[in-house]
Amino acid sequence: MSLIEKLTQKWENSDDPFLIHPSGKLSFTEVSQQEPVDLSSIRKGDVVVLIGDFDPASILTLLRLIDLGVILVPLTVETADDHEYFFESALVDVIIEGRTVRRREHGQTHPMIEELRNRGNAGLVLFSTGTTGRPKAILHDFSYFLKRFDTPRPTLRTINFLLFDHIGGINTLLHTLFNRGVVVAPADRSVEAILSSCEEHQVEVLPTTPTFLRMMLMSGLIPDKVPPSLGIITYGTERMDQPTLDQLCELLPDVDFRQTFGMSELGIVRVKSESRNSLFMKIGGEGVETQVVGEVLQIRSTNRMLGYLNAPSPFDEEGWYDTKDVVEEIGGFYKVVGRTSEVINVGGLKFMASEVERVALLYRGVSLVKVYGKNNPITGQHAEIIVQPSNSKNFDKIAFKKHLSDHLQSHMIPRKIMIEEVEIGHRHKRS
Amino acid sequence: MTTCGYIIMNLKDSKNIVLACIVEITDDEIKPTDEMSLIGKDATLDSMKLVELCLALEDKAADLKFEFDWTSETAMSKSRSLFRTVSSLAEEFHVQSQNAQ
Repeated sequence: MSLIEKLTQKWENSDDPFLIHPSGKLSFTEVSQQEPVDLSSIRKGDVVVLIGDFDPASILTLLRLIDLGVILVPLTVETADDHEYFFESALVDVIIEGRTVRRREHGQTHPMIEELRNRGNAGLVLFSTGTTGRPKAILHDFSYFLKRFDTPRPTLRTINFLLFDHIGGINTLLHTLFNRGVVVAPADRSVEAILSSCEEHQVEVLPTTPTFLRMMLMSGLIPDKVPPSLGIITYGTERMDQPTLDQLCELLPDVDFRQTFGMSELGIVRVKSESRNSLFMKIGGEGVETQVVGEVLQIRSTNRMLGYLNAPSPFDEEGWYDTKDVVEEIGGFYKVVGRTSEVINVGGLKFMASEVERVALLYRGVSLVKVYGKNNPITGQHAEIIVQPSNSKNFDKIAFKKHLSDHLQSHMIPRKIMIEEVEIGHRHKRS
Repeated sequence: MTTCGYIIMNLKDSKNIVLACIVEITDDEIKPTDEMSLIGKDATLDSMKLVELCLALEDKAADLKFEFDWTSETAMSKSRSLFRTVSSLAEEFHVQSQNAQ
């Protein structure tokens, strides 16, 4: 049975929305009743770019392309400047934008694309958003990805930005469609807008990042503006610190805090936090194995990508993927303490930037911090810190310095303290 | 003396700045001299204090509208002579202030 037939069956006689967005609600009936785009020129195994978003027409075309068995490359207009690069990297055969379908001639082949065609399976290409080098084209076998939706799972009313060109966005869409759930897309990313969307639509799950949660703490909107419907807050993509989690747990005693962990290269992995106030988590799921080599977490997954189309494989001979996350392990639970690139080495003594950040955040009046190692010709490296106080006028730099000296080993003390705004939204790096 | 936003600094000023920085970072525990060794077996400051001294000089240089470079590859390549004594460090500080003008 095709994907569209399965979903039509699931949503039979229902006009309930599966997507609530700032300009309205969307039901599966609206999607299935769209005038279909002419896909007659597309063959199974073609690499097909779909430039779209989570609108009814794009969703219908996306589902039909999966049913056709193509290798799908979902893109959005926001990345238009990179589209040519994406077309070349993924050896794209067809481009669909709106109702226009055009073929792109290139005369190239790639062994992984050929392998997928031989398997007769649909594919999915996503681009990494790494901070170094150009985005890498990640090729997945879509059939592994879709298999997980055969098992019905409960859905909770979730808020999500639903990125059309992101593994999380596609996963949330399919999960919501297959399990008759509802996903709410908020108007913007501000703490206020998110919390008011949660309240308006009785949202039960709020997926966030640690940066967002720190902003939420600073906003003064919690606990009063957190609706009682909200039972779960998840956080991931960056490292969380214990003081922030402790404050959140104290302010929101009825909310369950859960950590998420994953990367496009590995497919979806299941994560279970040890407890709501713990940064330790169990990483597992079907076909997922973990091991720690030299304090660094490695993961092996049967649902992993086939590989990069435009870069060497990141897997070792046995299929292990180096996450570059430095972890502590207790009884099978892992806590990420930093990235391998965040290890600071002062005269041969190594420590994580995160450990210094944790101590700095304990100082009253500090909102955000960033610690990094700076190279020098004397001790190899020393630590420096950027501090963003909640009120820079009253911030006592000397007392803060004493706080650091009192709680850190000598080599870990940041030798330079800068009072300025800490960049947020992605990892701040300095060399 | 200030001109066009820059402070004209001679070698003696530069030495005084380095000496004052040492006094500051050691909380007045050390009475530095021009020929005091900064590296090697006779060094009075430990390596972390030497780092702090360079960072303090970075701040002073910023006040004087120039950048004191002690971490680039160029600086690293001459680190042995640069950190030999208070005088050699002061000389480098002075040269860099002149080059910036």
